Amino acid sequence: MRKTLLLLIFLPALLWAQEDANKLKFNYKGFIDTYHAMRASGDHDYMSSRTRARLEGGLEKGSTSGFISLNAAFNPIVQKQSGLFLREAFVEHSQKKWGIKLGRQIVSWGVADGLQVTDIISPMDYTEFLAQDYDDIRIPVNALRLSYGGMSVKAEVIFVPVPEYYELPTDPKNPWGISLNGMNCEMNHHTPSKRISHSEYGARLCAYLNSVDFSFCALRTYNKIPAFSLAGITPEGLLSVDAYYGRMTMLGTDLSVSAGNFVIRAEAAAYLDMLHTPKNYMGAAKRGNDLVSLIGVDWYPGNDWTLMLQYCHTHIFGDDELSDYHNSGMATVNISKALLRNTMKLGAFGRIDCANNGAFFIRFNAEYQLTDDIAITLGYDWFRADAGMFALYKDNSEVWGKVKYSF
Amino acid sequence: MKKMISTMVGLFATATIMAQTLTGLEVAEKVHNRPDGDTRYCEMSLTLINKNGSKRVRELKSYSKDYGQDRKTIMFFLYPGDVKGTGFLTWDYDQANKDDDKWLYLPAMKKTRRISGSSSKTDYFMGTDFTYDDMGRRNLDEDTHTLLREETIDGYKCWVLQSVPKKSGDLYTKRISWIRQDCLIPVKVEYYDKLDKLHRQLIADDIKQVNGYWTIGHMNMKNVQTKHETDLRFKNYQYDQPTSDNIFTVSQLEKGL
Repeated sequence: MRKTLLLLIFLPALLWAQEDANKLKFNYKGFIDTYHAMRASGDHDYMSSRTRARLEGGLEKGSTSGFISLNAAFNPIVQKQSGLFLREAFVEHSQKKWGIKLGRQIVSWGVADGLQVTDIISPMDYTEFLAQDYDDIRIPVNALRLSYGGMSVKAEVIFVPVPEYYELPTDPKNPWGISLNGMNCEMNHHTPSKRISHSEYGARLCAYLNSVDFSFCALRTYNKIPAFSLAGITPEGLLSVDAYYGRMTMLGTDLSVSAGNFVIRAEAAAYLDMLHTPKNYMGAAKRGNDLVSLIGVDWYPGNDWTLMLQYCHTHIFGDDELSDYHNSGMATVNISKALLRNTMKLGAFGRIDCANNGAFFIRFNAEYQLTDDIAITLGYDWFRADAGMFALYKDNSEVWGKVKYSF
Repeated sequence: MKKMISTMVGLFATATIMAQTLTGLEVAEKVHNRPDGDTRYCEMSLTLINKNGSKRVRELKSYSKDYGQDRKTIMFFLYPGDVKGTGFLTWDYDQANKDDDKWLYLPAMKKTRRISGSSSKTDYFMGTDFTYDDMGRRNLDEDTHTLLREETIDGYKCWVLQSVPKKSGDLYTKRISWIRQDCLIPVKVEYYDKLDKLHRQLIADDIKQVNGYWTIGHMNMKNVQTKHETDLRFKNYQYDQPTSDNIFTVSQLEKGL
């Protein structure tokens, strides 16, 4: 099925390419990497172990192009992550003012750094939580995108026939598997049926002006993180959880302003009529309205330092049955420094759960470029939490290493 | 005969007065306004060489287009593989008090990020010995220019121009440029540090005309204090090619070239 889809996607580009092979442009890139992580405490067991090859290729002729990205992976800990995976495959055509992009693609909206406010079309794959490369965490969607614009303004409409949802691991062998109340789960996903009336669609208008960028967007979508409701205990002793997805509307805006050595970023979204997990996971999922707002500042002081700070606040409107928290906040800190003529990069990305006593997850890393093509990275993931999302992983602090060959 | 001598004396005197009255700012303006087409494309290969002779390579391609005195540039990294596809879009404004607009596209994040328009000018570009300022066009008003003298280098008559930054915070306290008078290209530039010691030295050669415009084929920037140097070679220079305005947009940055 996937092969047929690929052929259909690339056939127009290939046929056109054959008309005048002299002007055909082909480019490729990729990498082979191996990543291994070990728990920093207890048994020091392996938390992650994966080796993969990524190949990306593009064909271009005139204003038409095709792109494909594949992963071949071996993961002895999470078996379903082993194999050959299609990441993206799309064709793109553009004229002076308008463009079309059709196929499997990662859609990225908004200005937030690592947090999702308006950027909810491509959901996240939490199979190994956030201990993966960011582009592997994002789940591509099959979409049609039409754009129209000039130098400073761009309008875009998007149609996703079958929305994608967050990947939440429940495999008890996976150290990143999620549990509820300390019990392993079996999830029954009640995803909408694949009908045209259940598609996702929206629009975004962006402006890029002197010192300021902004955009407005609207999306008819679903809650991509399910609303959970307990259904009972399975014969195997697992917690049976119903995961519900419901229609909702997102209205959003974002802003980036450059001021001297700083860039100020802001983003806000209203999630209207969104399904929420009921208190204590008991009873039916309830609908309510959320307002998510983010403010961030990036500082470029020079000497290859970068500092990015963000605070994202979620307010849930409505009665107390909707959530334990009507207000919650997540702060992030991202700091990086390049050394030794950019051959070494030190960085740390921290997330602080302000609603749960400052529970945090910080990813430290040091990357050294052995040659132009080979990089070695060592890191430490530090969890400290007694409540909230990070508490699931409070014993998952780990040391990790990665070797990557790029071509 | 008398008339001829008188004319020659007159011409000589005029030339002498012109040379004497040419100020540092006027020389800097000549260099700044040197014809280089309305659009330009080139491929660049940067070889970083440390004092042990070990080399690293960065390759990129760049398009730029003038809009009056302003310039828009889009560049993409081609090598090494881990940065291939990374794009950089700059709207460079000629007004000294107006920050440039800059966007960075990171293919791994599938995201374009606005970055500061005024910082990083003094940072080294991709670990080379060239700063972002060296790679772009420095505004004339940012320095005080003084014409020191004239000298001959490799048979070419040059103006020797001293440029002192008006603001502190630059990597150097003064820059001395040897500018070839026939083509208005600085063929040698010395950068001095805060202790007035020579810090970096730039040599430009392989100078030729491409599509009627004087063009540098090769530059070498050496940090004389650390002995690290960067060789910059330009390939496939093209001027005045039809270049759509749409190339210099965030949409194009995300699409690639």
